[in-house]
Amino acid sequence: MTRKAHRYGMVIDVDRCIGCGACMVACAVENNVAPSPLIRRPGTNEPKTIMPVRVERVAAGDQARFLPVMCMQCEHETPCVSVCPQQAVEVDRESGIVFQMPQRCLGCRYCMTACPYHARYFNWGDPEWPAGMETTLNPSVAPRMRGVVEKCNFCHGRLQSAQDRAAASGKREIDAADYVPACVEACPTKAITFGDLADANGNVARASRDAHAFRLLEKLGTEPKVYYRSELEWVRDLMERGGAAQENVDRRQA
Amino acid sequence: MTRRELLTLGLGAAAAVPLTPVPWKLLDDSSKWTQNWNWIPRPPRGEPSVKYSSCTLCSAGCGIAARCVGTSVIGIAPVADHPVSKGVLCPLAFGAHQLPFHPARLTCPLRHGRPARIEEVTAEIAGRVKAGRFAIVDERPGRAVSEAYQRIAAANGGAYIAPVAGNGLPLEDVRTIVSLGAPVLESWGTPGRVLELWGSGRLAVVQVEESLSKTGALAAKSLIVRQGSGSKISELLAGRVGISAASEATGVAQEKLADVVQFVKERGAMISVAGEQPQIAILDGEIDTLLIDHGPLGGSLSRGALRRGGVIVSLSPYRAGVAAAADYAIPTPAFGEALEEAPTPWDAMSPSYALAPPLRGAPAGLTTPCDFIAKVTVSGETQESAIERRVERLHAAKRGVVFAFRDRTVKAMSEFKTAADLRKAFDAGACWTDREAKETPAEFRGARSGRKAIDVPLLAMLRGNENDS
Repeated sequence: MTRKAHRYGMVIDVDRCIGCGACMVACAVENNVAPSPLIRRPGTNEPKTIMPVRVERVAAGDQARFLPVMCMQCEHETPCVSVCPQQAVEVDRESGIVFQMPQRCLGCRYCMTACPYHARYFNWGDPEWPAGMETTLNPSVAPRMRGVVEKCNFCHGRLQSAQDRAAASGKREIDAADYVPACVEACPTKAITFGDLADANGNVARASRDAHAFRLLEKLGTEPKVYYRSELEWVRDLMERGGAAQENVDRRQA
Repeated sequence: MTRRELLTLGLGAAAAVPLTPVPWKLLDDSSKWTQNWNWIPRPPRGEPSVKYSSCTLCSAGCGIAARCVGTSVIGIAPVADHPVSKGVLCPLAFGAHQLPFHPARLTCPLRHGRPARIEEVTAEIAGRVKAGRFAIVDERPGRAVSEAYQRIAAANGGAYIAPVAGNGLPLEDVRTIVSLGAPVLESWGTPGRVLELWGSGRLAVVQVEESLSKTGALAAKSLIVRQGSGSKISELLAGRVGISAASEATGVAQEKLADVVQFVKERGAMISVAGEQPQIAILDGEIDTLLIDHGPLGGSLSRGALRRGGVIVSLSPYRAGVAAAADYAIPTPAFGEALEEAPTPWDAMSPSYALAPPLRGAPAGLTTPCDFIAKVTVSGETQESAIERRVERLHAAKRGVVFAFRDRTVKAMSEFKTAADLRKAFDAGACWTDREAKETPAEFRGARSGRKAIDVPLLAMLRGNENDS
């Protein structure tokens, strides 16, 4: 059974994000991300742990805004796909999602180097949970082994569950409301809009065409499917300048 | 073969092996085998289901949908049409089901920090309660259990101490909230209510504080003032002092103050809120035994908040905060392990009530704080009887509506024929609210939680807290 090709993406309203970290917690719980010791990266406050979504703080004067940063699901010349020697990263033609397959990954970390968004994390150790907490793991997502790279996959387990439910009820396509990634569900200010960018009249496609929408490092031409939006000129200016404005980006966890 | 030839062959083979693929293949394979060894946890298997309940980690009492597999809770989601939380949860709630496994969990009673037998410590505490004056500190007032504590204290000559209950905030009727250091955008009040109003632009925040906070950085207007001078801004906005006097007192430039005054004036209705944490007045020297019910999060009282006037008995699921330094620490059920209550949030204008039915079994030997306090005070009160009384009273009043999430219905209270029917709905995670009530009865009121906003991922936090404790 062939399905319509989708281009799942999201638009994050930076002006509504309060940097609470609910998206990070919900993501960790949904995707069985093991707690790691809080070892800090040298010279930064950033924990050396796996964070498929992280919240970056950008500041200008006494104003600050927060940007949830995850895999941007690049559409064109996807850097991690082109460098992977194991074909462990693929762009799914049906959903447009960039998949990481831990079973194929040999842990060379070329993809981490290639990713301009630092959205990939290496599993340095065996995943460990405090005693008893393994009973709270999500059975839809297999815990990853040590020595592989991890990243956000738009909660692919939820997409598969939605497809299973649709197939069980004889439908070819899923209901849009049936597939919502954990971070989108968790956002207390509804700052994240998720949907199919291929649906030109859908909420997410319309929001991505907003005059105040932008993408991170757009000049690289990787066509990310994660858009941001802010009415604040200094935020857009800072993000469009990208790497040149790193002095204003506080890379600590928000 | 001679001895020399055997040695030559052996040494030659040993020297040649690293040049063959064999050791590298073995290294590669053993790496893969150990990657997938049995120590990688296997997620639970079983029939998927959803249980509705309430989050009782703070006084907001947000509605939660617990995703279960078999007998395990594997995730928490917000309840979209919940009358209190409006489909919003704070970060802590998303990991609430993992909190019972926190490394700081109190697994046995402690006497002066050392493990002790529950029978012995119960007898010792009961003896102290009988011999001297005792007080019950209730960190979560507004519950049916709080009424039971008051009855126990009254009947046994003890005292009941709780943080001052809130009076509600009419946030829907104002356009601007002037916050004197309150963390308005950091899990303050009922997050669903506050963040919906802020996110939609109906409520703007003017933050007045001594050093820039996250709320200040996100606020429409932010003023950094001199220590202890925040109230001058309130006086300025109320027209009691002039701009120059306020500028002199606070150290903020007159132009900036004029801009804030103009902003507030243009937006219209304003409310001012203070940021200090609730204080519990401990009657130092008059209390021989202090019995503290911290609630399922282990409480927000700091060790410094309690001056040692007598013996401190801390009823907590975690060995942290007061429990870590108490004379006696009694382990109690953590979130989702026992029946809990979600009374009216401190900032709400209309009364509400919900139960949080247990989502998983509690470890053997744990009693609820209420049942433990009833035991040491030799009282007939139990948590169950207190809740039953509250449900009967709600049913008899025939007011308000009950939101049932499992069958997606909203029923008037009069539709419940008996109190037992109402209790059944509560046990399935329903929430009662009376939006037409002019005021909330004092005994239904929750007090402001002193819990700090969680701004780091819970899972990464676990190991950090282990060291703290």
